[in-house]
Amino acid sequence: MGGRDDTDDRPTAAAAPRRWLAIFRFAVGRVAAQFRQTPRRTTVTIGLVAVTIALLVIVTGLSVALADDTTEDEADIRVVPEDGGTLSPVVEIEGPRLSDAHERTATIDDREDVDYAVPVLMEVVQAGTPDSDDPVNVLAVGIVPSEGSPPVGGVSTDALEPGDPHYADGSYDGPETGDAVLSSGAAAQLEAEETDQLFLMSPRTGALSQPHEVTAIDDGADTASLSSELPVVVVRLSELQTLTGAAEEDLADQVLVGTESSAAEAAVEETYPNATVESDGDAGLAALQDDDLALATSAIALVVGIGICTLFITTASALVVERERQTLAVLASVGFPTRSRLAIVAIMTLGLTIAGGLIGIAVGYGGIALTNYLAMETVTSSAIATTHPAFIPYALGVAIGAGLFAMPYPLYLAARTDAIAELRR
Amino acid sequence: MARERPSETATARPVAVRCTDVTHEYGGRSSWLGSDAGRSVTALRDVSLEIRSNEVVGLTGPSGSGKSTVLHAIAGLVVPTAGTVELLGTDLTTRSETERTRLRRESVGLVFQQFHLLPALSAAANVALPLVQLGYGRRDRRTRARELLEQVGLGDRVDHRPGELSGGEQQRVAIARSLVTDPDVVLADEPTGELDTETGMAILALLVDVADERTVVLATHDERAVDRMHRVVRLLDGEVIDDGR
Repeated sequence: MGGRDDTDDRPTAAAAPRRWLAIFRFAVGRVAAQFRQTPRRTTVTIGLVAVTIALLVIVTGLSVALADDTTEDEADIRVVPEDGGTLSPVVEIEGPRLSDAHERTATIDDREDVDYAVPVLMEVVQAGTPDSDDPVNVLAVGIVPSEGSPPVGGVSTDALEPGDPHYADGSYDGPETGDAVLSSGAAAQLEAEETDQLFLMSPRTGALSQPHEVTAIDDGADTASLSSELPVVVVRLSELQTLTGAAEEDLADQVLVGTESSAAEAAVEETYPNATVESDGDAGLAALQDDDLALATSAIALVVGIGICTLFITTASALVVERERQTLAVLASVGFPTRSRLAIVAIMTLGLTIAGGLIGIAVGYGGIALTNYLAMETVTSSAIATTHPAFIPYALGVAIGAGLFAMPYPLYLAARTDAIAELRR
Repeated sequence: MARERPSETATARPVAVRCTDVTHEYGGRSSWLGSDAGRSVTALRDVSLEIRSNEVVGLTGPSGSGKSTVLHAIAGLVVPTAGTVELLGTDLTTRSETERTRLRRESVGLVFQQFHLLPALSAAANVALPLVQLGYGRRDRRTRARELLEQVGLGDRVDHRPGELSGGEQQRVAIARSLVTDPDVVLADEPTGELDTETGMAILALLVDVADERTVVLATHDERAVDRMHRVVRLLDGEVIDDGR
């Protein structure tokens, strides 16, 4: 028995990739062994990371929804009366308005470098269906639809054919289309469905509209906007002007313009010399503040997430190293150099982190669904948090980042392991 | 009485291990409490020792006599406070930890009293562990581990975990692990210490047998073990008191 094997069949330097692969497998095996040997402790470790990442995903989902909600239209340029506000659910009934809306908007829309120019009038009116017991206050938005016009008030205008026939070159005696697009919030409050009849009444004038027909109900999916819960009814501008008494001077609250041309912007300013022209870059303060709030919320969630995650991982991996000291000593005794032993500790730490991160992402998505469900059951009629595929690499990146931040401490402990002392135990 | 040496004269063989005036102290290092904050313990005092290739040498002596420290110094696990330790012609005391680890990986097999097998790994995986760092492929590692386990009589326990093996079987796995890299030197620290007499003797016989044509240094306080040695070196309080050449 025995006898030395004199043939030197040891691998050469080319074996380095195989060695690192084997070390990687060994380290992953140690993570699995942790599960088998101390299942409760390992589960708690991974669970703490998972909870942190899940909360990060949920807060990010809320922040993204909040940020999305601040951009209710996608216009490049917005023309508002001086001292006027941005497009907002809060309607300033007695505020200044733009006059000659149809004519001036048409002038802008005729330019080749302008994709669309849409005048917008907003009024709070009462609405109801023939079956309604009581009318409901809704935000009526009047527009002149055109090809490619953006969502207005969070509601898509795609279902409206271009044009405003009732305007009839200012005579307001053209046929009324009676088209109305409802936000899902309006549809819910009115209990209206597509093709239902709808009546609008201006509380200011007491006038009752011709019957409208619900052309479409926009669930807000395309705009991912909180406004989808608001009761918004989009109709043609002249029909709303007639109802609210704004036809006399052809009034509108603002004009949305789609263009990338600075020449077009100059032309808009020329068309509305006494109005404020806002472009994408200097959007309304409120919107900017809302964006900042969303950004700040996300940033805080990120910093807190990384911080807490790092602390959890530091503590947990230090405990892992404590449990693995004998293993590290055995590895040292059989010829694993320090860098290989530290690599094993690093892979184990990252392994636990990634496992926690992946579970956290899944739990986070579940948490967003639960948050939306609870919100819709109690206070809103639409989602308040949103998901995005980018959340997965983002959250995983945060988990890995936290793992890397936490790494020095377990590596320090591993490097300080006294192999002799451990082997003598 | 020490076992008879092989027919070849001992002096004709090259020196595998040479310890020259080796002194080692534990503790007594500087700390924030000041230098020599902890009391130092002298584990070895001026130990000089020469072990030739293929020699089977027993280090005996009571607990605390320095047997394990000599083995750890030869393995490069500790660097003595003074003196030199040469392993296969390389002075370990002048080498970095990385170089000492490489030499240990390639030339030394270690067997411990407490076996030190990894409980989560199978017998074969434990035996193959040193081959991971040497870059052997998975299949080669398994084949080599199986060969060694068959040599130590555990061919039918390849996939058993340490917890499923008796103490004697675990020590056999540890011996197989120590030989898997085909080392020149095998160092065994009280390999029978955790075993009953009969199993201990069987393990000792196995160790000497499978280590054929290797240098074996075995630390033990079991006087019965010396019968199997070519030579016995006795230590007391960190000093060599008898080198039974």
